[in-house]
Formats: sequence, structure tokens, C-alpha cells
Amino acid sequence: MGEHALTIGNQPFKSRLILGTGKYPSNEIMVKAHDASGAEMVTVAIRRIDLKDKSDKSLLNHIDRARYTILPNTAGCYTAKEAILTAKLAREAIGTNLIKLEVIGDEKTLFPDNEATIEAARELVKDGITVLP
Amino acid sequence: MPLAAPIGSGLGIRNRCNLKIILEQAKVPVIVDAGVGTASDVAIAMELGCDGVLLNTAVACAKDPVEMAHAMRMAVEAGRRALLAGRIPQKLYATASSPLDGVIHL
Repeated sequence: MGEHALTIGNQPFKSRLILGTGKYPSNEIMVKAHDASGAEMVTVAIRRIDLKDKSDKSLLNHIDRARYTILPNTAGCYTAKEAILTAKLAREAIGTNLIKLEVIGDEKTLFPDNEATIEAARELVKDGITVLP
Repeated sequence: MPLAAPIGSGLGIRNRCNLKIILEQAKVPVIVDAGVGTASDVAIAMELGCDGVLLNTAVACAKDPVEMAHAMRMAVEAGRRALLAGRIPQKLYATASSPLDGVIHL
């Protein structure tokens, strides 16, 4: 688009769209949708995938790491402690310094617990992680 | 990453003024992160000046996810380009589109 790219951490992105990886009818449709979207980053819920699964059914096997930056997220975490652990697990499992941090505060609205989100963000930033709260 | 509406609700941009205030004050990129329902919601977020949009359900649960993903791609680009192009001011009353110079006096 003839302008500066979006920079997250130190990484530039031409696309300003980030897509998720959940709730698709199939992994094959997800791959096609990611392709059609032009996105260069996709987010993965670390607590909702089986990190040990190396089979064809594994979500991570359907994401071309050369093409997409994986943005792990802490969906499903209800406390700062859970989110911090999930973020650190993501760093080891995915090999990225990025984390999309979310700590749920209310079950019905899924609005965040702001206090816990800030607490977790402080801790993770101290640890050198790029936090997207 | 402010939300536009509750996660997975598809309600679109429900907090336009809040987003504007966040955009004015934030010193980091602002990416709308939840609540998008369709392509026009994405275009609005980008026109407001958001740096990006993150979405899942609107594409994953669309009748045709691949087609919706393509629409979202175009909406991001349309909104961003419109922002950079600079929209005209909104006025309450009409302004004629045709120039009045050299108008034929009858």
C-alpha cells in the first residue's frame, strides 16, 4: 500500500489483518481462508491445542511457519498466574517472544480482568516478552 | 488490543468514541481485537485509524469462510486507504456537486 508497515515487536508486517485459528469447519478451510485473507500473522490459543500432537490433525501442522508468524494467545486463562505460565509455555513451544495476553474476568461477557491483565503484562515484559494486551 | 464488542458477538464497532480516545492517547499500535461481524466493521476500524484488526469468528463461522477472508482483506485495505486519503468533513446540509462557475443565466 505504499506506506510504512505495521511493526509488532521489531517485526514489520505488510498486512494489517490478523486471523484466528479456531472454530473453522476444517483445517483445510482454515488454510484456504488464511491464504485468501493476505494475513501474515495468525493467533493460536495455547491452552486449546495439543502441543504434543505431531500428527496431521495437529493445528500447528497446518500453519506454514515460513509464511505466517504465530501469535500465541492466553485464551481460557482466568488468573494472572495462569496467563503468565501459558505465555512462558508458548515461548518454549512455539519459539516466539510474542504473546497476545488475555485474562478473562467475566464468564458471560468474556470481558477482561484488567487488574490481572496488567499484573501479568508487567511480569511478562520484565521477562523480555513482547506483550499484546 | 481494545475490543469493538464482546468476543464472538459479531456486533461490530460499538464503541467508536472510546476507540478514538484510545487512538489519540496510545503510544503503541492499536489493534481491534474482538467483536467484528463483517467487512464493513473492519473498514470502520481502519478508517478510525486503528493500526490493524484481529478477528476469528467472523471468518471461521461465516457460511463461506474463504470468501469472507477475502472480503476482510479488502476491507482492511479499503479502510486504511480511506484513512490515508483523508475523508471530507461531514456537513448537515447539501453542497452542490457541480461547479457554479460559468453557470448559464436564464
